[in-house]
Amino acid sequence: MISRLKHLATALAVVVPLSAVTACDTSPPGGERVERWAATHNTNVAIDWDKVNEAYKAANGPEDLEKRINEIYEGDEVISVAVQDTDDKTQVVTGFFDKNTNGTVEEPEKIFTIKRDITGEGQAQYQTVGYGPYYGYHSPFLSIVSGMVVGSMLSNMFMPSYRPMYTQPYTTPGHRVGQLQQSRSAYRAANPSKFQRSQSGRTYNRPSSTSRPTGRTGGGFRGGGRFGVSRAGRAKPVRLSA
Amino acid sequence: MIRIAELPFRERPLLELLNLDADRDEPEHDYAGYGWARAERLWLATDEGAQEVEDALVLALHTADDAEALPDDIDLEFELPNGPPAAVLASLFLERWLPKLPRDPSAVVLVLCNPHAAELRWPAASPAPVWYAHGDVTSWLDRATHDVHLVGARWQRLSG
Repeated sequence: MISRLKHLATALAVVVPLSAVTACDTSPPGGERVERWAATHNTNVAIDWDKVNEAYKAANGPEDLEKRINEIYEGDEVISVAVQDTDDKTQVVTGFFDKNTNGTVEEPEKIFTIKRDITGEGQAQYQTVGYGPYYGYHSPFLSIVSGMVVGSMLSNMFMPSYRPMYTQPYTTPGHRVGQLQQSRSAYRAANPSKFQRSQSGRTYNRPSSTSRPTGRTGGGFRGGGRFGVSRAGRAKPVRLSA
Repeated sequence: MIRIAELPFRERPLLELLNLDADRDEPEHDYAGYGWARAERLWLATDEGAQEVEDALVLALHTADDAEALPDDIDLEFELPNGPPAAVLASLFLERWLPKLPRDPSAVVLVLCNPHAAELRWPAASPAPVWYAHGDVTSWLDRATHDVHLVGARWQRLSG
């Protein structure tokens, strides 16, 4: 039998993610919506991932990016940023809560990464992935092409003379955290309407990978399994090579 | 120590394999079942839409959430009935197991989370194009049509 593939972008659209991470929409399609919030680690505060993705696109450098991201974030913590060019084509930006203010990324502090890859001449893509309390968020692969209006943090990579600038990573220094907090306070004071939502309630993005597909027939969906395993409480695996 | 070819990677009924044989509203986060099944039809879905795949060989696998990030491979993890779990690279697992599985499917679907968006390479032992996803993968069953839906961030197709 020959495989038959059909595009059904409209006939079987899956639910567009709501704006936030650890929530599960338990509503039947077309029925009453019941949103259930999963417990998170140290924060339940919303992050508008679309704005984070736009901030990366528009940033003129790591300092500009960390300022933009902290203006987006509605919580009390300051988000530090690490930027590293891992090779000629790949840049990884890590957002983290530098809880011990040592200016280095530690795994439990990570809240997101943005990975940018140059995919061809004048072409690149990036994807944002959530960690910790934002685990489960994956942005689509977002394309960037030469000629688009982007900040110099991205546009530099299309210059003929481009050389990775952050082979030695940039990380928000501990002393800058206070500056970012002050700068954000001023921004919030100047834009009170943007922060009304966090006063009345919290919203969350739902992980796209657990988005419930919307039914073509309205019959609803039964959940099965997730095909990853959590490390917590599990024995260390034995590696097989033969 | 158990060998890769000795892993209890068995044929199971499709719905049981994908943990769809009990009625629940959400996918079970820590489901650890694995094995293979044939599917007459299933849907590979993302936020943008879905593709129908017919006559598929479905391989249900797992990777640890904190597995090492590899650019072109995924570290698989298998819970074993007696003893600690086993870890094996997906490329190695497929090299050993695909020749032992049915050779006449029209597609091979890897039902497997890919948290680091590894770009897998075509497994030469595959009898058909291989589908795999980026991001988390979850299984769903349309209660009305009984169609199986596998939701991932993005589905990729490899062919020789």
